[in-house]
Amino acid sequence: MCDPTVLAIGSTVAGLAGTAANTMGQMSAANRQQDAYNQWVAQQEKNRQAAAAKDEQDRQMADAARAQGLQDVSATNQTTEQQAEQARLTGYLQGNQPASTTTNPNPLVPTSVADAALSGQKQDADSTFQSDLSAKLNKASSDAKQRIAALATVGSYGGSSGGLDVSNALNFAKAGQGIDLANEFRKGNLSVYGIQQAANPLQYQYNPSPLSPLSSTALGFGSQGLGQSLAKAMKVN
Amino acid sequence: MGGKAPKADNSAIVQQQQADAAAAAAKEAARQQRLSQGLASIKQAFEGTPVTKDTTSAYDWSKFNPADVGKYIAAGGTGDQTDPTQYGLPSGYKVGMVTPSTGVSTPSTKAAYGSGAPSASSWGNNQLSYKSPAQLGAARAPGAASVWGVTDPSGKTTIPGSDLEVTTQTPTGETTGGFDQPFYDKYKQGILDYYMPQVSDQYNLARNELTYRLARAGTLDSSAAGTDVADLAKQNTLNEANVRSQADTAAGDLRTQVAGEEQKAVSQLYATEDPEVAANQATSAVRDISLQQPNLSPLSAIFNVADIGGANILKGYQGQNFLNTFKNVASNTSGRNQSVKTGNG
Repeated sequence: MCDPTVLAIGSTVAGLAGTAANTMGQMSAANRQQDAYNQWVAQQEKNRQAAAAKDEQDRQMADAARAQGLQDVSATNQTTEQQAEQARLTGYLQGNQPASTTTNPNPLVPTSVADAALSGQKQDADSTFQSDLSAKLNKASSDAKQRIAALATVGSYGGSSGGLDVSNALNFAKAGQGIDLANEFRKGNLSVYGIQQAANPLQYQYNPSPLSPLSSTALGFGSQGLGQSLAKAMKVN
Repeated sequence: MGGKAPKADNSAIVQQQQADAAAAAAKEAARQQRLSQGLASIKQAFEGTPVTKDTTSAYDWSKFNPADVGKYIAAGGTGDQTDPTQYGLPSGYKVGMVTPSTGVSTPSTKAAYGSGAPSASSWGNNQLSYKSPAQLGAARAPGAASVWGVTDPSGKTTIPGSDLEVTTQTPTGETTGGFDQPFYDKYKQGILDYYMPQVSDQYNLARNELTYRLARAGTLDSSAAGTDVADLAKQNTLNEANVRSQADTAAGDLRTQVAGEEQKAVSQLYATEDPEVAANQATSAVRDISLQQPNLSPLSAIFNVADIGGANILKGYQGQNFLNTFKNVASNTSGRNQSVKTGNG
């Protein structure tokens, strides 16, 4: 038979070894878990910074489009555009510019044969009548030009092809396109960031051996045996 | 009795999540690329292709900063450090590491090279023409490590600081295709060609009617006739201007409609995120607008001659009536030996 003391010592050593192995395994798992968290946090921080940078870039892109649109419809710009359009319309409405030609290019020259006598074209027309008619035609032409100029002024503020109604709408549409594009980019980038945020860290878990309960039993048994041996050795006869 | 080595029990899930995130990022980058291409396609369909011309100028080396781009990439940014466009170079040029040697264009400025100057043999005849490393920025001396340089389309390599002629395409401000000014002018001209003959016809009819009415009133050679002719000419001028104004307004409406169609194409692009569908939408919209016709209806009577002739007829009638009355009065007072001669004797 083996000495009980030896058995107790052996059991204690085995128990201590098993317990130590479990403890070390748990510590190793904890360390790896800590590393995994650190890496995850670092990656999340990198993702956050990259997302923030892209978002800022997109915001600046939208803001640039908005600022350009604002400048395009500023009072100074609108005044300049209105004046240019007024000048263009004044010439155009009088038939002096492209796409304003008519089939009757000089309306002040009568084309009717029947009324030739009224226009001074009659060879024997009275000179007083001719000069009177000429003066009245000039006056009529001058009055018409004044009214046309007024019409051009009104049109330049409104819906002429280059008027403020049209140009402002186009300017706002242009700015809106830039803002919409930037917002599309922001939306997509934020979506990607959300997916990146959803990624989990690695989860480390220590799985003790199925025999690990024996180590505590052995440690208990050994320590009990050692106690008994110690008690016997100190027994007083 | 110790356990197994610690092992992550969700590694497969995490790997899948990371792969999904990477795929989403790549997909989003591709989507943004498609959006940019689609917008360019729509812009080209509606606004035309900008006309460019070749412009040759000395390259500004201050734009050449590959080291800064490297920092950008290291910070997590994306981009191709060898992309020439980010340095203001045309796409035909190449950016990369080059080893300065024979055949490599050298800086033209004579400057002290400093303590890092290589041996004369490695420089050949160009040793005095190089700038110092500080002046060269990211570039280094020949004979040392490779440096960032530029290779033009002909294959000639140049390092920073040396003379580099760059040919770029600069827009002239004109465009080809799309809805340009001639498109709108043609639209306006179509409206004018429809309405102006009507104005002319009505003007001629009014002139004839005026002539006849003045003749009936016996005032054909009168000052009043000149006034009426001038008034009619004024009406004609104003009527023509009014037609031109309406044509111009119609062109403005068409311009607004074109912008609306462009916006629809952009909205469809965002909805589909597919440039090809957007291009088809743009093409369809272009076709629809090209088929757009103005709502042309005949002009109503725009010249007013009834007042003119009517007034003169009335004046003639009143004048004759007054004359008849005056004749009667004169005949009744013949005992005073007064006589009045009338036009009829």
